[in-house]
Amino acid sequence: MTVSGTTEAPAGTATAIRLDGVCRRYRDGDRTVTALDAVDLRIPVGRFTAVMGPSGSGKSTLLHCASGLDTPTSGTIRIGDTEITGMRETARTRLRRERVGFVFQSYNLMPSLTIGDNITLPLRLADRRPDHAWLHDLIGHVGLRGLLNRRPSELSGGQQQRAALARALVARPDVVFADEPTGALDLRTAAEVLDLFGRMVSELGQTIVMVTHDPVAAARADVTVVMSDGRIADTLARPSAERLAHRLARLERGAA
Amino acid sequence: MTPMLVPAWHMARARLSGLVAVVCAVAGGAAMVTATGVMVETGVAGGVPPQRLSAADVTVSASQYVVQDEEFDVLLPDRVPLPADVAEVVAGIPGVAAVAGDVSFPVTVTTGSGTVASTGHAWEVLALGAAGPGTSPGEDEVVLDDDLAARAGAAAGDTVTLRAGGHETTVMVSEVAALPGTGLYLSSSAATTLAGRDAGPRSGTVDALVVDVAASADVAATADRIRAALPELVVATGATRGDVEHLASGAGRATLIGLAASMGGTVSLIVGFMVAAALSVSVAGQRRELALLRAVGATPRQVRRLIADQCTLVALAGLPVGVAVGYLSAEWFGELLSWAGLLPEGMPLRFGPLPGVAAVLTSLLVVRIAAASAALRASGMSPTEAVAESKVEPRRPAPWRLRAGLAIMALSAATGLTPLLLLPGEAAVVSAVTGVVPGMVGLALAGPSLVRAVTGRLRRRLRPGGPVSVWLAVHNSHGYALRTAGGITVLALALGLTVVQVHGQTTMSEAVSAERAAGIDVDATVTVAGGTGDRTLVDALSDRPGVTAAVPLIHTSVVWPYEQDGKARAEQYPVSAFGADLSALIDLGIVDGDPRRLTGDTVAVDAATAWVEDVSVGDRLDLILADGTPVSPEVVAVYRRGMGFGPIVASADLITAHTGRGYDTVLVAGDVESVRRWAESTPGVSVRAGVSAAGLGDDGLTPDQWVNLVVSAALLGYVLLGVGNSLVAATTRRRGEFAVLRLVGATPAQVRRMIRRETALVCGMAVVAGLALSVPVMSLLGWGLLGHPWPQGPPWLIPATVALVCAVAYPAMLLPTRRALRSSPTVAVAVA
Repeated sequence: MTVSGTTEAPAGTATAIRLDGVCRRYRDGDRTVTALDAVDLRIPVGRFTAVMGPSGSGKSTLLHCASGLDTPTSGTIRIGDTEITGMRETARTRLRRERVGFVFQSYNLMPSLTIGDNITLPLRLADRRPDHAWLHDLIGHVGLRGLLNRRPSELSGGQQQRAALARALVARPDVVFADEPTGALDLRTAAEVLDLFGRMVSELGQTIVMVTHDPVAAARADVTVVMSDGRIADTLARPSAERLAHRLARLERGAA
Repeated sequence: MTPMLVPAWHMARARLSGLVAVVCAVAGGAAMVTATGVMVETGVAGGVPPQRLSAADVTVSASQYVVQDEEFDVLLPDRVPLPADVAEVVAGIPGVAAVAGDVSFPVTVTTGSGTVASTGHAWEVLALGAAGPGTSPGEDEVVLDDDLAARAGAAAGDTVTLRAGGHETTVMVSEVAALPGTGLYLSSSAATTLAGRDAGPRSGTVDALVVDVAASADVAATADRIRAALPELVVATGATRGDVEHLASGAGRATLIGLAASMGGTVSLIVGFMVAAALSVSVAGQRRELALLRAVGATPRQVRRLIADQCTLVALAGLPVGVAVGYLSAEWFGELLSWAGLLPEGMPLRFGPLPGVAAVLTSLLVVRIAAASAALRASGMSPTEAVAESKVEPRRPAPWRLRAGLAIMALSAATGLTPLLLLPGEAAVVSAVTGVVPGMVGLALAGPSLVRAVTGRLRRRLRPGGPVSVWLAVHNSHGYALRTAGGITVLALALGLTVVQVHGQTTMSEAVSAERAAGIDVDATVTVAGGTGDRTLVDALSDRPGVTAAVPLIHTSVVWPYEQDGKARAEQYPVSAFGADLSALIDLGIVDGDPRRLTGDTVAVDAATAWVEDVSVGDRLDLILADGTPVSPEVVAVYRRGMGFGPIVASADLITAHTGRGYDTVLVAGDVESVRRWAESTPGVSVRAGVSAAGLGDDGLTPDQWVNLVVSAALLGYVLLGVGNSLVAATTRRRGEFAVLRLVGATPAQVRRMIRRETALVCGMAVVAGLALSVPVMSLLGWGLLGHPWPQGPPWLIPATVALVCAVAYPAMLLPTRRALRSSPTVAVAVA
C-alpha cells in the first residue's frame, strides 16, 4: 500500500497498526459467521484512513479488533510495536487508554458530566494530570471554548461530536478510531466534523481510522480501504466520492 | 383492551428487569391486601360455630356492644346478662315451642386428686329440642364432659366439690359424657344458685335465652317476630349463635377488624409507595421508546394508555401469585394471633373469594394511578423534546416537589410530635409511629432536590487529585438525582419504619415496666382458679404468719363513654380493681386525693387522663363495666404512673357489687414460703414469687406488640425486596454508561469501584435520612415517657437495620454491574 503524502509527516514510513492474517468468527446458533477472513492491513502513521463497505462486510469488526476492543479468532494485531493479541482485558484497557481514542456515531458522552469533565475523563481514569497547554489548544481546535461548563444535553449534535473527538484526543493517542462519526449529523454539520478530522491529521499529524458507509465521508480520507465479505476488496488513495459510490453499489449488488 | 396492547406487550418483553420489580411490588402488595382482607372477612362473617347452643334454633341475648358514632362499636368482654323473665315474653310469641335460660359461670371442681377450673352450665339448654344427650342431672348431681372428667380425675359415681361465687356444694357425678360443649352441667336450680342468679347483683338474670321453634313454624319468621317484640335484644340464628355461646369469638372478630383497620392504612400506603417506585423505574427505563413513539405520531393520551396497559398486563402476571401467597400468609398469621391469644382457639379463618377479588381490584387501581402519574412527564412533552430528553433523566427535579415534600415532612413532624408534648401515653406512641409514614412520602417528593443539594456540595468539596471512582460516583449521583433519590427514599423508609415500629413498642414497654418496677412492691402473687376468690380466702391469707399485706385484685376493663363534637364515642381501658388498701404494696404516685378511700364505688384516675378529660377528685365518672353495667364511681385519687397502671384504677367493690365477679388474684407482701404452704392446703390457688398478675407483671412485650413487630417485619421484607428489585433494574439499565466508560479507558475494576462508591453514597444518605426522620421522634418519645432522650430497645437494632439495608443495596447494585461488565463494551454501546 503506497500513498503519496502531502504533509510533512513521514507518510507511509511508520506503521500505527498492523493486522496479519486476522480472522474473526462468531457462532450464531449452530452456524459460524466469518466476519473477518484472513485480513492483512497496515495503517500508516499520520494519515486519515477510511474503511468502507456494505453492511455486514466486516468493517465494524475490523475496527473493534484493530482497536483492541474485540479479540480475533486467529492472526496478530500490533498497535505500534506492541502486539495486543493475547493480552488480558485489563492490560488491553490500559493500552487502549494510553494509545487509542474512540469516536462513535451516538457521541456517548456521559450525561452527568460537564463537557470539560467529559473531555478530561480519559486522563482521570488513567490517573494522569492534564497537560494544560495541550488541553487549551485542543479545545480551541474543536471550537468548544466557552462551552466547557455545559452538559452534553445542552449542546447540538455537532458540538457533542466535537466534544467526543476532543475526548478521544485528550490523552494524545497514537490512533483515533471513529465509527460512523457523521451518521447522526446533518450534511453541513457532518462536513464540519469531517473538516475537523482532516485538520487534526494535517495540522497535528494525528492518525485517524474511520469506519463509514458514506462515500462522501470516505472521500475526505487519505486512503480508503473497501471491504467486502470480511476481506479487503480494494485500497484506494484519495478516490472521489462518485468513484466510491459506484464501487459500493457494485459490491452491494454482489459483483465484487 | 386497546389496540396499543400489542406494542405494550412487546415493550414489556424488552424491559424485563424493570418489570420484574413491578411484578414483585404488585404481588407482595396483593399478598398483604389479601391477608388483611381475610382478617376483615373473618372479622365480619367468621366466628366459632355454636356447640352447646347448637340445639337451639334461635338465641336471644343482650347486646355486647357500646355504640359509637362513626367508629367500630366497643365490644364488652364479659357477658351482658338479660332479665330471666324475658323468657315469658318469648314463650308467648307464635312459633316458639320452648324457651330455656342459659347461664355459664366459672367454677372449680375438687376431687381427691386436686382442683381444676372449668365452666358450669344448666343442663336444660342441652336438653332443649327433640333429642337431648344423656340424662338430666338431679338436684345433687352433675354431668361432666369427658375432657373435664379426665382432667379432674373423676368418674361417674364419684363425689366432687364445686366452688363458685362464694358458694360451695358437694354433688355426685351422675354421668360422664361426650357433650357438644365443654364443662359441667347442673340442674337449673343448682346452676342458678352457683351462678349467683338467685341473689346479689345478678339476681334474676340469665346470659341468654335459647329458643326451640315448633316443627310447624319457620325459624327465620319466628326470629323476626321475636326481634319485633324485643327490639333492644340480639336475636341470632345459624352461625352467629356461636358468638352468643363463645364471647371470645366475638372478641376475636373485633380484634381482627381492629388489627386490619390499623394495619390497613400503613399497608396500603406502603404498597402504593412501592408500586409507584417500581413503576417509575420501569417507565424511566422505557423513556426512549416512549419518546420515539411520540415522535412517530402517538398522542400523549396513547402513550399514557400504552404505559397503563403495559403496567396492567404486568400486574396481572403478579396478582395470582400475590393472592395465593396472601391466603397462605393469612393462615400463618391467624396461627400467630391464636398463639398471642388474640384469636380464640378453634376459631377458623374464613377464606372466601372476596379478599382476593378486593386485592386484585385495589392493586389494579393503584397500578393504573401510579402508571398514569409515572407516564405524565413522558407523555406530556413535545416529540422533539421527548427525543432530546430521552437519554438523560429530567435534569432538574420540578421545584414544586421540593416545596410540597418539605411541607409534608414538616406537617408530619408536627402532627407526630404534638401529642408527644401534650399527652405522654399510648396515644402518643401511636401518633408518633404513624406520623413517620407521611414523612416518608414527603421525603420521596423532596428527595431528588435534596440529593442534588447534598451531592452538589460534595462535588465542590472533592479533592482534585482524589480517586476517579469517587469523583464519578458523586457526579453520577448528582446528575441522576431522581434515580439516586428513588433508591435512597425507599431504603430510608425501610430503616425509619423499622426503627420507629420497634422502638415505639419497646420504649412504651420499657416505660410500663419502669413505672411498675418503681410502683409495685409485692413478694408473691396468688392466682385463684376461675376468678372465684372471695373475702374469706383473702382473710385466711392475711392471717398467715409472715404475711404483712394481702390485696385482692380483679383484672377487668371499663368503657369510658364521652362526647366529641356532639358524637358518641367510647374508649375501653384495662383496669386493675383492688379489693383492699393497696398503699402497702403499690405506689401509684398519688398527686391528689387519698388512695385509702378506694373502696365502694370509687376509682382513681391518672393525671394525664384527668387533665385531658378535665376530671378531678370528687367528680363522678360515668363508666360502663365489662359486662355492660353502667356505674358512676367517685374519683378519690389522681395518680402519676399512668403508663404502668393504666388510666383508671378501681376499687374491686365496684366490680363485685355490680357483677358478682370474684377476685382472680391476690398480691402478697411477706414470707413467700408461708404463702406456698398455705396454698398447698387450699384448693384452687397457685403461688408465684413476685408479680405475675395480668396488667401488672413485667413480662416485656405483650402479645399484640409481638403481632405488631411481626407485621413490621413483613413490611420491612416487602420494602427491601422492592428496593432490591428497583436497584437491580436501575443498575441494569446503565450498561450503556458502563460501556462508554470502558471505551474511554475505564477498567472493569474502576467501574466496579465507582458503583461501590455510589452504593456507599446511596446507603449513607438513606441512613442519614431514615434516622433523621425516626430518631428525633423516638427521642422525644423516650423523653416524654422515660425522662431521657435515648429511645429504649435493643441497642443492636439500628446497626442491624443499617447493615440489612446495606446488605440489600450492595448486591442489588454490584451484581448487575458485574453482569454488565462481562459483555463486550462494543455490544453494550450499540444497544445503549
